[in-house]
Amino acid sequence: MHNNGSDHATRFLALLRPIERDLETYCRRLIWQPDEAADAIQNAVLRAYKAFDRYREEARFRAWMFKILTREAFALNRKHARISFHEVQVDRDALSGFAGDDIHAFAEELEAEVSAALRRLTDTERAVLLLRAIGGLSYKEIADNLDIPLGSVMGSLARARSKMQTMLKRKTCSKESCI
Amino acid sequence: MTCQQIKRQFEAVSDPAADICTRMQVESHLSECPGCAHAFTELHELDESLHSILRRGSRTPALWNPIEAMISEEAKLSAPEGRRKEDPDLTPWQLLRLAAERWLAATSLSARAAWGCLAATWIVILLLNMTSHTSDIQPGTAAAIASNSEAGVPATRQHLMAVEVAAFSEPVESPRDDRPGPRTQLTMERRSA
Repeated sequence: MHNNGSDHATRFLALLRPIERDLETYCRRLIWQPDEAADAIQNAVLRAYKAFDRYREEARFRAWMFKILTREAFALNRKHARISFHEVQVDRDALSGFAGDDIHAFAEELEAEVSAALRRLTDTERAVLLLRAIGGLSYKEIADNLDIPLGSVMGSLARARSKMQTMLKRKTCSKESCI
Repeated sequence: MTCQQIKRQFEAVSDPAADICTRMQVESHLSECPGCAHAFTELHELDESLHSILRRGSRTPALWNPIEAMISEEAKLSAPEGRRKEDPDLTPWQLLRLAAERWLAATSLSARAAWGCLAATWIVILLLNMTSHTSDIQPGTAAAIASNSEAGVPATRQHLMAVEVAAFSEPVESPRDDRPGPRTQLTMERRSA
């Protein structure tokens, strides 16, 4: 019986380890308060382990874990009011004065730009985009993950992509005009 | 299909699990229409660059190692519980204890409520059992217990006999006959034999 318990844990950890990095990246991008990402991940993993008996082999473990983590992150996000435009604007202003001749600095700046743009999407748009980009889930898995119809997944993804494109273009244009 | 309809299908084609017929339709249109092909390439490039930025991240060992250790620890702790669960000879008190332990271990409110209800039910059942045993001893049977104790019958045995006598005997206040009924007599004879 003791072996069964440890086998259970070994099997769970063997499935979890290859996706830990993606889960962490996804959660850090999805959650509003960066310091709460660790709590969300820990809660989601323990919840998943407790429910592992009910996990069905036909469902992809990756999709199943992302679903649990999404719910955990959304629950934490609901506790906080949406981060204000002002806060995002301050970040963007700080970045505009940044010297961009270093490639790493440029990558960081780009990353910050994308993160800032990402924060201006709705919860669903952000989750759909991240589940597709980081999770690599199919549309059907995303629909199941967020409990929304398949058509809404495609609509949200198109809107999210279009908004991101517009925001990033606007920023690039404003920088070029400054120069 | 028109260009507008094909553009609406771009999303469907981006899905790794997309329908093969739709994918073939879009691909054949793209090979013939430079405008749609350009729009599709732009969309694909935007996706690629966005995804590559969003995917950037790392695994933090300080976060994951304690979580993995916690799961291993949890597996060790759950092992004895599993052993007890399979034991068919659990007494009600052991089951009650198990329920209490599970209740304390449960983190979610619903799990706590469920285990709490189970524990409460067991307590009620045990209390009902205890009260029904004590109330079964009729005043009239005290004399039988006294006579049996003189004959050297152990107290627990006397208690059981008394309960049985009380269950089978006629009401004490019956004015018709003070002697024990035929069934009571039979039981007493069986017991004394």
